[in-house]
Amino acid sequence: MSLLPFLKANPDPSEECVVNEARRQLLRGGLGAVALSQLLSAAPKAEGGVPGLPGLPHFAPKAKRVIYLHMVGAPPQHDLFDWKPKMKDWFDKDLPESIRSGQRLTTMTAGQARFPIAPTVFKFGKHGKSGMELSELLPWTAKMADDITLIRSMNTEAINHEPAITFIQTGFMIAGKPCIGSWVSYGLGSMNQDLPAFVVLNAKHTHPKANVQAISARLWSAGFLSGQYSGVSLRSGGDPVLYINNPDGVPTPMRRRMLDALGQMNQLTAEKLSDPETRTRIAQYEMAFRMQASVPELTDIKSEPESTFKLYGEAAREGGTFANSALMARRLVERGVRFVQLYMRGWDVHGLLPEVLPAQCKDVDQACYALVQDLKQRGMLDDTLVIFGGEFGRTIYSQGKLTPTDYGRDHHPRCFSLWMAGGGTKGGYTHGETDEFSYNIVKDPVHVRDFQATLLHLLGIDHERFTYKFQGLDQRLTGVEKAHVVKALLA
Amino acid sequence: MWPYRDWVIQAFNRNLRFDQFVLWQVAGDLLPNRTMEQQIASGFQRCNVTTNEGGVIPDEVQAMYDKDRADTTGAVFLGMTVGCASCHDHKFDPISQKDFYALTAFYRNTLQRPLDGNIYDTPPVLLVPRPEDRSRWQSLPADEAAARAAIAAARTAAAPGFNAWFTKGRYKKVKLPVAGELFRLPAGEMSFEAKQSRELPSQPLFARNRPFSIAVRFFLPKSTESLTVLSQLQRYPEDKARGIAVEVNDRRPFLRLVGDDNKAIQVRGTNDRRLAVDAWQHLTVTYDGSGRRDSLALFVNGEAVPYEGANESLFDLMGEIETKAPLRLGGDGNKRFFAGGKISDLRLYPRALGVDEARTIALWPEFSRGDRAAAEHYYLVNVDPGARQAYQHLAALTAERLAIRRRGAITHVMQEKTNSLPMSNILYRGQYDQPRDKVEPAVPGVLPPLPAGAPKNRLGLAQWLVDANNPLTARVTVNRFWQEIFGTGIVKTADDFGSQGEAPSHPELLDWLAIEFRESGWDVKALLRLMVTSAAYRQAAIATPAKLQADPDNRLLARGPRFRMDGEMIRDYALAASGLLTAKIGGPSVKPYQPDNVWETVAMDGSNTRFYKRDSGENLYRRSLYTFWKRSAPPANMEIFNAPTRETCTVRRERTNTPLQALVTMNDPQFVEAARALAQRALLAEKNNPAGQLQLIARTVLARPLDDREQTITQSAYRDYLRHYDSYPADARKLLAVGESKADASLPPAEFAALTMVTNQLLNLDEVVTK
Repeated sequence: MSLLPFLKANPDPSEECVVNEARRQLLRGGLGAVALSQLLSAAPKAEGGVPGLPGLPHFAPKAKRVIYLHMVGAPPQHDLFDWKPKMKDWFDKDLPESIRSGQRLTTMTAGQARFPIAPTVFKFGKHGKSGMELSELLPWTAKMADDITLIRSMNTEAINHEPAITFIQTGFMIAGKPCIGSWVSYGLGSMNQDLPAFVVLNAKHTHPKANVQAISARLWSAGFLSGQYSGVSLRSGGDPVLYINNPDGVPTPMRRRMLDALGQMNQLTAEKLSDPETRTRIAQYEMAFRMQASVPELTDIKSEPESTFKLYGEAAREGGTFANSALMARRLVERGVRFVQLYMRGWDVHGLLPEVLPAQCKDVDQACYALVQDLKQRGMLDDTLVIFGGEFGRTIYSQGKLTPTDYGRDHHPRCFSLWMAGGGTKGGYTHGETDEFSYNIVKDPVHVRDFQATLLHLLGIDHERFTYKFQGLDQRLTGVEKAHVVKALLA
Repeated sequence: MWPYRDWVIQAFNRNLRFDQFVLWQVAGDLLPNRTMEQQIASGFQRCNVTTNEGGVIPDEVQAMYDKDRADTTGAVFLGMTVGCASCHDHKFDPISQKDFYALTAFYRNTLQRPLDGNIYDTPPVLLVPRPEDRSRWQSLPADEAAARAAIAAARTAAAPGFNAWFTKGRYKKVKLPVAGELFRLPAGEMSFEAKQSRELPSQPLFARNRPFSIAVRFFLPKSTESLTVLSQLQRYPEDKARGIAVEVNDRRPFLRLVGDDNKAIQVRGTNDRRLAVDAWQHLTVTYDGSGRRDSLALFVNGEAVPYEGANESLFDLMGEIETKAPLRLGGDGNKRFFAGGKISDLRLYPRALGVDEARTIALWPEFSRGDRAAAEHYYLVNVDPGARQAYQHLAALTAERLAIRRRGAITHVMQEKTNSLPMSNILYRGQYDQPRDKVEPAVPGVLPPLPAGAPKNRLGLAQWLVDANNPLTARVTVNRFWQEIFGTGIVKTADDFGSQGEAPSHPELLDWLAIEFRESGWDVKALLRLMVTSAAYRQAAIATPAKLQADPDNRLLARGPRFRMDGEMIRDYALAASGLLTAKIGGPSVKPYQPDNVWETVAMDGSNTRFYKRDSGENLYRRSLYTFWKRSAPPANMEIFNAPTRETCTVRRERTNTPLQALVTMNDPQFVEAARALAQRALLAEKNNPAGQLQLIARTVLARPLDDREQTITQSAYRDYLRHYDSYPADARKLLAVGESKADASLPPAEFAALTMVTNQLLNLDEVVTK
């Protein structure tokens, strides 16, 4: 990790001599990274280019960065990832009580008189060297079956969106705890001094009838960790980062001149009052100025060659689409952003599944393939963890009216599918199995906690040792109950 | 909910005793002979986040609300992290799990239901008339009672005349006396099956500036589905529409006028008087042609439906409702139908009918069949002069009542059930579906008990909180005020006075302040005056190396406090300095400048807070506490300065120092416009005197003149700005155009723009955002 950019960020003379001494020692080979970061942590924290906690990562990481593509609303596993051919014979038959065995229902289907099974109307095929079974709706994902680890045995207890997304993001169903990106930003710091460590993207979907659920800015909040670890939203309309652009009539040289004068006056204040916060504020204004240059550079996709748009699809040219966001995610990690969280809505197929799902898949499939291949081509896939999944699964039985061509699926916590690529995961590997109905797990369950533990493990972090003391408890992303790293996924 | 905010503001302004402030907010509704004010104050308990998400389980949601209220009570009044005891006994403090649930029990006898119904006026609510309407609101019921008595008297007086008229069969010759009918369906019943609707020629009657009434008799099938009885809607891509619709949703009738961008004004029936299913209903809906959000009315079976919320819609109608789409019976032209329903009578009028006319139409079939009661109503309303006058008088009073309701505001309040007592169950490991032992309301055992004679309900809890024997409330409160003034509380962890929190830096001071506060009569202004006039506060904020060494965080008050202002204050400060801040107090929330797409990214499609429509004029320049707050997407410039989202109780804010904050004060149009406005003031006050202009700005934002070095720096910058804006007049024009207010066109643009940049620079000074 290059520390030199960080060293420039702190103009305070008294800090500089501490840091220069450290630099001399480092060049002499005397200091380890741990001790150096301890010295540096005494300097005022600038957002970006901050080393993480001393002692982290606990061991050599496989992944240095994460791109987490969260499909809000919960994609249906029967129609995409978890092939259950036997269900064809079960069309319109009731789900046996022995299979349901007391699973609580949401209040949306609790009133249904019947739970008729809705086999998928879509075809599956076997793909890649491992013969991974994937739906015809995901032809591009199928092309990269050898690159992904598909987990079919994810499970959770949450049965509704709000608590479920909060759970998979923060480790707790009730809001207030930090999300994964904030933990990672806090623990590992950032690799770029001009961009935030943790960036959030929100992608739009195309089908007008897709069922949209509300999400909330608290999903990327830092909870009880300091607010500087919150995700920064990179927006597709207007200012890419809020307030990044100077007002009309204030060109960059005017802003620079103002910052020079401002800095000089603040320096006088610093000398008069010796408040460390003043010096930090001077540094932060300089960082803001650098962001004003780095963010437009980041979002200017016109500089990408034609081959990029061929790979991601034409939709990547349009701001706010999933394809555009996936491309942005690659550009972000290329520039040293540590954690990119993407949310895309419209997957909540309670009804009109055969009509809406193909459109949702079309919105994402090629771009997912493109992202993974793009990272691979740049030699970044091995240390970038890509994740794709929702917050729970969906029911084998139909919600609402079932016909041979139309059905919907309700929420289902007991099993769902999620894939990962790169960052130390095994390619061409399927983990876990569900029963014939994709209702219960029969082999190798992976609880949401286990997923979080594994994610941290790939980043070189022991989830049990990575804690933050708050309200008397050593808080962990994975919570208080036991969580296991899924070793089988590791390459 | 803003009447509650108004109450809080007035309470502070008139220095309401803090014990009363607490008492009313915890249990104002339960006070004997409660006033409207005290009821409004109980809205404090209604500030929690609620939900109506499809699929949620009411018991689970209720458990979350209970925990929220108990946690808040603990944090705000007791400095106790009671929430840690929701799944098990507190690991560190003497709070058992039983204590926790006993505390929630106080809040569990409420009429508020777990699901909020996706409406803004979830009961229990209170109508708060405007101040100028309040006395009339008090006197109206008596007048209405007198009018009803007059009707009864007139009825008796008219009886002989009516009997004669009825026996002679005069009613048979009478035509419906409601004049001006524009359209009527031919006689006969129309039935509707699933996915069936009938199209009639389009009605030009339905237009924004034309009043109309629709009187329809229909059969409501056995269903709680969403049904459309009739509509005239032009459909557009992306599920948008324009026009009108008469609907029944969950057995409540609706009239909606849909204008631009799918935004509608609407009127609907009340929750407690839903339509009976499997039965015939008569509905008259009217529109007065004004486009205002309260321009609609609803009459069910001839009875006026009282407004459940004075402002049914948050906005006036935007755009047109006129379309060439057909008048459609039994559907909305998209996904909604009227399966199993029937229509037997439909009449349209080019004016807004009154209640008596609506009732006449509603009763017409009975009247035609010779039903005596219907005939009597007709006779009294239309024939007998004395009765007619009495009815008209009552109608006028009803209209007055409706008008006061419409002008008033709704606020959420607490209201207890009358047929049960508060109680709770211990939830095993905090799980909503694992209730164990019942517990009665009780305060934590380690603290003194409820005062003698206090009821075992919220009122008792409130009395206990402010009782002289309660060792906590005063201490926690003075600590919070100390935090406000000095930046950090005497107990740094202001919501945790327990063993995992920090010990007080000055325990004797804390105790002394608590007792002073209580003995003074819980006088907040006196307490704050005491703090800001103290020697400790009045110290200069100069840190020397020795002080930084001995007291790095200034906990020992080796120097005066110095910390960055809260986000609201920073914005208010810029507005006040610029002269743009309005002095108006109170009223509904406002929507100042906000970047695009902050709300849309998170909102549901049908949400009424999906699209942010900025206000204009004065509403852009109110104090920040009036800004409309969407909790899932809070105002960006506040959030960046650590304003909490308000989803849970927060008594202590972080104070970060980030580049995103720099971007706000440099680039947010609110701040840029404020800089321009202040520059304008300086230019007008100190004509042709740049040095004077500079000093005016400095004195305004810094409360002191610039010293020589600062003047040199700033004047040098000013010259460079001026040079640029002299050479690039287009830039000057653009900069001066930021913000809605108009820049004074008589001022020389280059100087004006240059001085705006100077002001922008000064407003960003560390010294300005810090206090």
